[in-house]
Amino acid sequence: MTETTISPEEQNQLLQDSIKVIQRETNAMRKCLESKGRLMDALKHASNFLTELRASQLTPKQYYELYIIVYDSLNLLAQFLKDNHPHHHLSDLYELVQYAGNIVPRLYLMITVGTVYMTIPDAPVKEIMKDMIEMCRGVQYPIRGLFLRYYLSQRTKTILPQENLDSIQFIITNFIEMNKLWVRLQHQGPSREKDKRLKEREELKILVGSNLVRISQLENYDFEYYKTDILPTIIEQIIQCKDVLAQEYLLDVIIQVFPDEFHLKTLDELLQCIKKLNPAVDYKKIFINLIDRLTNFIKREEITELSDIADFNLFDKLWDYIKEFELINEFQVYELNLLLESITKLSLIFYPKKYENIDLVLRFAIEKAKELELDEQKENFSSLLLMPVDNLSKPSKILKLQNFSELLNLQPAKVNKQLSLIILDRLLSQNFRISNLQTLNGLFSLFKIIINDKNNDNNANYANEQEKIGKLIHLISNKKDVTIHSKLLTQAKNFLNGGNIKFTYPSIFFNTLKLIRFNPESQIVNSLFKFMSRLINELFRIGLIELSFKLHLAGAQLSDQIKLEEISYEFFAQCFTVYEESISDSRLQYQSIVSIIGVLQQTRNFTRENYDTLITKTALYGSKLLKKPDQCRSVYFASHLWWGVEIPALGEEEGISEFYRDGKRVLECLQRALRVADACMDSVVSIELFIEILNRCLYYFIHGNENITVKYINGLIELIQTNVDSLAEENNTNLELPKKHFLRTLDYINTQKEIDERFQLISR
Amino acid sequence: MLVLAIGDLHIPHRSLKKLLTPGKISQVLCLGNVTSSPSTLEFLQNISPDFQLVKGEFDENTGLPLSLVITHGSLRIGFTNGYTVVPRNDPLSLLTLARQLNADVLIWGSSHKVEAYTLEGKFFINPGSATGAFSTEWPDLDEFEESREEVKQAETLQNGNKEDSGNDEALAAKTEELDINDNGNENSTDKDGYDGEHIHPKEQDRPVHSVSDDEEEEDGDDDDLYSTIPSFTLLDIQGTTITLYIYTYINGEVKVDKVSYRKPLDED
Repeated sequence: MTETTISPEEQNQLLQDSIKVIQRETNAMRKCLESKGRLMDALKHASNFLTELRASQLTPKQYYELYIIVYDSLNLLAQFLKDNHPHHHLSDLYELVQYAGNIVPRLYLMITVGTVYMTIPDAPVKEIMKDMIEMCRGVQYPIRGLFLRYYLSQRTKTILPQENLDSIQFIITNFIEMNKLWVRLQHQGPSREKDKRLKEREELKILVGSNLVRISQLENYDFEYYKTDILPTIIEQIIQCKDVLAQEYLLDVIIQVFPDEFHLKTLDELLQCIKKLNPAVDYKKIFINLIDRLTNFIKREEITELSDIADFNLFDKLWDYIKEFELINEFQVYELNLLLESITKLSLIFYPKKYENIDLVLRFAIEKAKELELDEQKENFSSLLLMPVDNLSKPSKILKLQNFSELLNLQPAKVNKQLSLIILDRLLSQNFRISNLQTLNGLFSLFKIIINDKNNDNNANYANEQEKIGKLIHLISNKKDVTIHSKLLTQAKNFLNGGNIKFTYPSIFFNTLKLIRFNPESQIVNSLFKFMSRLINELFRIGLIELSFKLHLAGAQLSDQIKLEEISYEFFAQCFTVYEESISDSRLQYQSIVSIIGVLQQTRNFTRENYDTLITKTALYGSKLLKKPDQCRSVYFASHLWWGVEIPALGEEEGISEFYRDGKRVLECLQRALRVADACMDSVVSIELFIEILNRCLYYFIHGNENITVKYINGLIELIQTNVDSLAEENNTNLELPKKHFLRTLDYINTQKEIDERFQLISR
Repeated sequence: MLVLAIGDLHIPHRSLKKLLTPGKISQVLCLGNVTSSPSTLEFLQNISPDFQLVKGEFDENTGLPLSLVITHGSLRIGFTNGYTVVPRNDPLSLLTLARQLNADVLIWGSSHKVEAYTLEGKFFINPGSATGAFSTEWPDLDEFEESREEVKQAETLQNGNKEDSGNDEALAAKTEELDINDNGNENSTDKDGYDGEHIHPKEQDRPVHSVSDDEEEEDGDDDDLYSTIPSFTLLDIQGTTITLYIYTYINGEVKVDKVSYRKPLDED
């Protein structure tokens, strides 16, 4: 039949005309069926509407539409035959319909009668099946033939005998014939319509595939039969047809519909088949589908003993094929990536501890990465690299992979960094410690690209990235061996010194400090403190003055706590040096002095002489601050350096424990503070400072410092009152706050009078 | 209304631990040592748009105030990092500061030790370190000896006890599941019916650990015995009454203690 071009409108008209005919003839058939003794007329009408299926100018979709209507109409007939078979000899009828004039209506009628006939007890089922499948050969026009055979398949669906293999052969034969028709469709018509044909075939593929689905649903056969008969027959057909669409589609159907366990056991057959396919076929896709199926199978079934289902090394087998494919194909990086990703996943799931498998894949990727051009978009191996990170029992196990970091570093810088950050995040969300040198080296070289990133100092994103390295540093810990722990820290420092140490050294510092606190008796404490000093000095050298001051102070604090006086003294001395030489911001100067006072006040292990040196110097620094209020406050805070109080954490108790106290020096400090306060040009500020000093006096009064006498306090109160009064005349609104502070202080004195009789001597 | 008091996070310099994300918080008072971590700062700011911050010893921004006072009705709440309180953590010097600030409640930090007490009619709260960061202050003698003991045990134990205590994890328990121990004090005018719903723990993806490989040895050191207990506090303010919820994270579990405070009536 020659194909003539026909417009879609004309096609649609043809379809509508046919539908009308079918509906009309169906109605006529129904009427005949409803009247007694008019079966022959009914068959005649059936033959009439079936003639519409001879159409050759419809699209597959349109033809399918007709087919559906016809199918329903034939259902009426089949039902009638089934209900009335005692009155009509079905064997006679089966013979009779073969005289229908045209082959298409004839075969549809034959199948309709034949399949009803098959359901009758003692019917020659085998012969009918054979007859029908043979007769179908009579239709060789692809679309018509495909639908006819599809009809045969649908009609026989529920009635094929379950007890023998004939049914399977029946379906296989039908499948083979349908596939031939389907492939032939490609070669019909002018070659310029090749793509159109391909599209049509794409629409029809499900008719062919349905046969394989049918076979997979049957329970007539065992694996042995599948392996020796079914699969080889299907594969042979697939290979022989040489058609790209058919090969890709049908292999995919096989992989999807038959049990995964079968695939495992017929892997050689499948792989051999893949090798013999048309070179234009997308092997990779089929292969990946197959691998993914097997992987999910193991995952789903939670099979732990692989030997139960496959007595060969699955990875090795697949890997060999991949290498073969690779030789005959030119893959894009991303295609290769997909392939390697799926085999990696399979290995991770089948052989979770066989790190050498993954290394093999990674090595292969490394060679390719060196040969091919990678880019930041999709031509890189990022998903392959993430595969073990996501699928190993712990992300930290990627360190067991020897080729991982090499491949990571071969990726474009941006990809490398993105991946490193992802991996780092995964690691940080996991419970683990970096407790040996190997782990440390592995991790820190893995994250080189983050560590050595020195850009964008002020960017929040950058700080967040560096923060992750800081968190990584906190994972360094070896509780069993102080020396190893310390070596880990030293090594970490080596890795970090090329990066932005501002973000990372403080973490090493505090990790070291922590190590010291919990191992104060260790031999290496001295060298640890020296190590910390080096960290601080390097930070100082890059201009982090404030930070180095604070770290010196933290070192001073901790070394005093573990009774290393000399070291603590040295740290304090360093604090003073940094303070004196480098801290110039007046606010920061004040805060630094208060910090030192706070820490010094709580030291416990200095000799009197050393302590005196340190506190005198501190007080002196305070008295030299630029701004009077800062000076005044530093000095009255410094008074506490001569008045130790209990630290409950140490079990100290007022009245029982001994404290370093010198009431006279306390008074001297307060006196000096008072002088500074008085020297302020702003009287309101002076008054506020006076009140603060008054409160300090009350503090010492409660503590029983006899140098702070009632007389002194009374004098101070009077001084404040006088100043307040004289200023009140000026209506200075700024005075309100100090005045209230004063009143609160006086209130406090009053409440204290009830519980402490010494307070009663204070006037007011 | 709910106010979160939190401090001394020290990320990334010192800490490992993440913290709870309570929802429905009206105000966040942060005691500092937080600014070195933009992500943490952002996280805190996201808890409530009313985010108040004072300077901690390790915050570099000298423009931050050393102390602030916020008011809720007639309640005045002062807060400061604590490193400029001399002597540090000393109740009498804290009282002096509270008087200076005219605060009914003083929240301070820097010691990384959670505590709450009433003194001279004022309420003193130290929320501790939300991250359980290492503190260079004197460790509590008893607790310190205890944890050193644990370290020693860890030294003697070979590979045993590799359980995941989850110390590194965000605190995950739902409030409904928590024990709320009533440590009510004499001021307590506790209303029952705290619905506990306003706290929503941070969503977290705790890694599911498969059975550890037998070949594995070095990854077993899961707990961090060296750090202090992470904690923070939530203030439920009703008029002049505060119900303080103290959240601590001990051995993988969140514990909540409750302390109540009511401002004494003004005499004048």
